[in-house]
Amino acid sequence: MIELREVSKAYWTGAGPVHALNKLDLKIESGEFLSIMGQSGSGKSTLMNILGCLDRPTEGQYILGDLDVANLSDKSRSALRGRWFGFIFQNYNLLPRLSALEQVELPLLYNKVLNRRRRASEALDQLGLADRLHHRPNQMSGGQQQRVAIARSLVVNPQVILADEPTGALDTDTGNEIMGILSNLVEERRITVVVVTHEPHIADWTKRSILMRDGLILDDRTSIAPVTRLEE
Amino acid sequence: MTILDAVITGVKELLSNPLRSFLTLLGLIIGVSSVIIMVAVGQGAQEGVKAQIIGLGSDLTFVRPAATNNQQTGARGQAGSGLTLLASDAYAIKEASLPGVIGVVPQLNFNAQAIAGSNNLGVGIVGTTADYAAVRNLELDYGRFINTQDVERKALSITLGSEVGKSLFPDNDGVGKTVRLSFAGGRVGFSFRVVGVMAPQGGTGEGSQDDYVFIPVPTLQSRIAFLRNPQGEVNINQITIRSDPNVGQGIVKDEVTKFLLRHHGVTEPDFTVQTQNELIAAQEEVNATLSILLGSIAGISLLVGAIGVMNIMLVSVVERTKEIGIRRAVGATANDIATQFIIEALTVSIFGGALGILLGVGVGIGVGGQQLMGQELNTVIKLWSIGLASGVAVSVGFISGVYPAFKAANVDPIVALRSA
Repeated sequence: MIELREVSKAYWTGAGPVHALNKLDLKIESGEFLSIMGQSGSGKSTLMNILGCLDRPTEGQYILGDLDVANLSDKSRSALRGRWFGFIFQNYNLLPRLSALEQVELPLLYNKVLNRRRRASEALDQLGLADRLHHRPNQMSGGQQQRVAIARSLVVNPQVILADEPTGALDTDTGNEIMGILSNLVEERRITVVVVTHEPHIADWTKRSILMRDGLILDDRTSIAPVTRLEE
Repeated sequence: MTILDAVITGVKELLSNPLRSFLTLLGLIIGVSSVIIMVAVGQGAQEGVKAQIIGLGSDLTFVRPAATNNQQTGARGQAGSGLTLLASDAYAIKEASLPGVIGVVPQLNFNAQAIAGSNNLGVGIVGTTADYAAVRNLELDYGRFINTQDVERKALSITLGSEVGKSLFPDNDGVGKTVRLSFAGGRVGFSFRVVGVMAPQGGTGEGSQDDYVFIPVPTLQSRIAFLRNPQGEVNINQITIRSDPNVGQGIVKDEVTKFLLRHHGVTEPDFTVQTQNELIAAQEEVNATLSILLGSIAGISLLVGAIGVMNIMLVSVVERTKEIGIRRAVGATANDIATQFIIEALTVSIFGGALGILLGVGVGIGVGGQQLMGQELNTVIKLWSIGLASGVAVSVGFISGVYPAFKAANVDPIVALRSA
């Protein structure tokens, strides 16, 4: 479903070009649960941004479904972001002044979807936040805020969820709770979930794990039963 | 994202920071309202003066002596200071029955002290003829105006302006009583019999007839030696001509000019002829300058208000970088973001403009009729000033929204999401 062919990304700094991605090839099938690991500067965030159509590769092809998206206009990429992808961030990235319901309605607003209120409250309900609809971010715990963010990413029925350090700001129990939710999305709704993390125990949740260094994939492993392995 | 969604988002954003929004609005409110108020005051002054000129009567043309021009020194005197206009000129114009001329009266202005019993009052004397009241459209309260017989007999008859009547005869109408006019510091004086008192004409300044007394011009001519010139004629200050409203004032002016040139036997006019329309036009020119000046000052404050909106919008873009990133991540296009910022700027401007209109119209009506340094302040609220001010406010909002919106739309979503 997702295929990157010889994708490079270079940034120009005062000291010359920095190659965040270096002719990287990657295929992700529909319904995969994937983690991307690597130290800071390894290029994992750049990869994530390119996957999510937030950024464009300097070179190479990005095939999404049967569409070459590397060179699409801003408008088309925005539409893809709104319909194909859901984003989850380490710091939740909720708007401080909006209620949970309004946060979840936001993607629907830009996707010109009807019944926004109903769909948003259903999404929050599925994540156990039915009693938090009108709370603002500062009135909720970290775990609750991250669940609002997940509801926001799910409300458009995305094909892919991109999670950038989703547990980074949470304690272990809450982090596991969030990973459990993501895992369920893969199992029950066949959504492709890509998690960027530097914590091995988070990567252990996923079936496939990619290790990056210097803009290249160093290791690409698929385990047989990741969840049971964690429980051993 | 529909426009309605954008408006709702914009209003929510404004409500979430009420103090800042209010301060932004304030600049526009002051700007818009001051445009409306300034124009109202300027127009009020204009219409006030126009009313005053119209209050002189209608369809009038004024003939005045030309300025003195001393051939030896080359010094030029004040307009109307020449001694070229005689009462007989007025009679001649009247007898000539020029086309469009309905009434002709001479006018000799002179100051005197009016004394009646223990009451004593400085008055302006108008030496004229019986037609004066008709030409100037004046009405009587008591008695009659000086009539043709008074003029022919050089009678010591006097008609009082309403204020003069009230001051000299506070207890009765004064008709039939005696008023002594004292000239030249009391060296010359005559007793006149009051034949009538005028109704109040209102108005202030030159247009008001309430502070004058009216006596036959031949009376002045025959009784007061020092008013006569070597030929035994009395120089007058003005001839007032009333014209047929169906005949253009320009035609009357031309006819009168031609006649007087012939009558005086000169080629270059030693007099000036001005129609009421010309007086109004000249005054309007002065007032238009005033209006432009006031409007410009107000326009500057509107501009300052606009800069305020732009400033706040620019700050807002920086403050909300993260929000822009989040909105971009969930599917907002660069256009959606730009639209949102423009609509926020427009919302501020429209709201500020509306409040400014309310304030401007309110103050405009409120100060109307108030006294300011002894002058009654006239205000006329002009629809075009409201249109202009609100139009400027909205376009200002749009313009000051465009650049910040452009900046917001060009925020890199990745950078925006990283920002604190």
